[in-house]
Amino acid sequence: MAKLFKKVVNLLVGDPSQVKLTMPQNQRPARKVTERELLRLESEIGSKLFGEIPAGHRREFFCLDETTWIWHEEWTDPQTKKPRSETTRYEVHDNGVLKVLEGARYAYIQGAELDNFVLATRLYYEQVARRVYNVDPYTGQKLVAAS
Amino acid sequence: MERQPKSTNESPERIDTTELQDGADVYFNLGNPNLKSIEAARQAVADATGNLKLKEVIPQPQEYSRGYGRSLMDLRAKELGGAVDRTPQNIRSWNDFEVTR
Repeated sequence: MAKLFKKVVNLLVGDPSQVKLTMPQNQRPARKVTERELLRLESEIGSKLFGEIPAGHRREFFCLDETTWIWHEEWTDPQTKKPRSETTRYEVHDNGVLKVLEGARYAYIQGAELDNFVLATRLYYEQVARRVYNVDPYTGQKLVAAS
Repeated sequence: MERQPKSTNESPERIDTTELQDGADVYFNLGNPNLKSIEAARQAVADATGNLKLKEVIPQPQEYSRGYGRSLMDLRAKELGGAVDRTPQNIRSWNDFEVTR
């Protein structure tokens, strides 16, 4: 099913690696984009906020909803050659940011980790606003597409 | 009138002081790269608002992330052509989220 969906998405929007992240109004497709496509475009940016992705790894980082951020990484274990993955959910609560790992492991992040998380969400917002939604992140004004 | 926090993301000349009343919240966004210091922001707001007695709000770190999340939801909703339906049945569980590539 996932492969079929991928093919359909590729047919509709082309090769994801070739998709332009900025979408000036006059270059948008006639149809509306879906929320999933927006998330994919956002995650393209989010995945690169933390530096270079190691060879053989696939990383996703995106804002799922107002209070939930997802980190997902996939790679092949060099020793066992088996695919590995790890998903971390960050929940923004009134009293802090809860980091939830698979296996019911969770803890509120603190110190440098909290600072880094907040910085990552800020950079994500700023870059996604500019490059996906084509607006200034702090004024909300539409950016004029560069010619 | 409902009190709307005024973010220091806005430059002082953009702050619409006509909406502000004594006791209004002024939201100090420490995450704003243009914000030099609390003192500078305080002075800029004072210059723009005169003698109003404002209540300073200095948010906790998690409030920034919530704010960015909320702004992203608004951008997404606009892009999709309407408000995002946030009723429980339409909120996806993270386990349901499938990244396809």
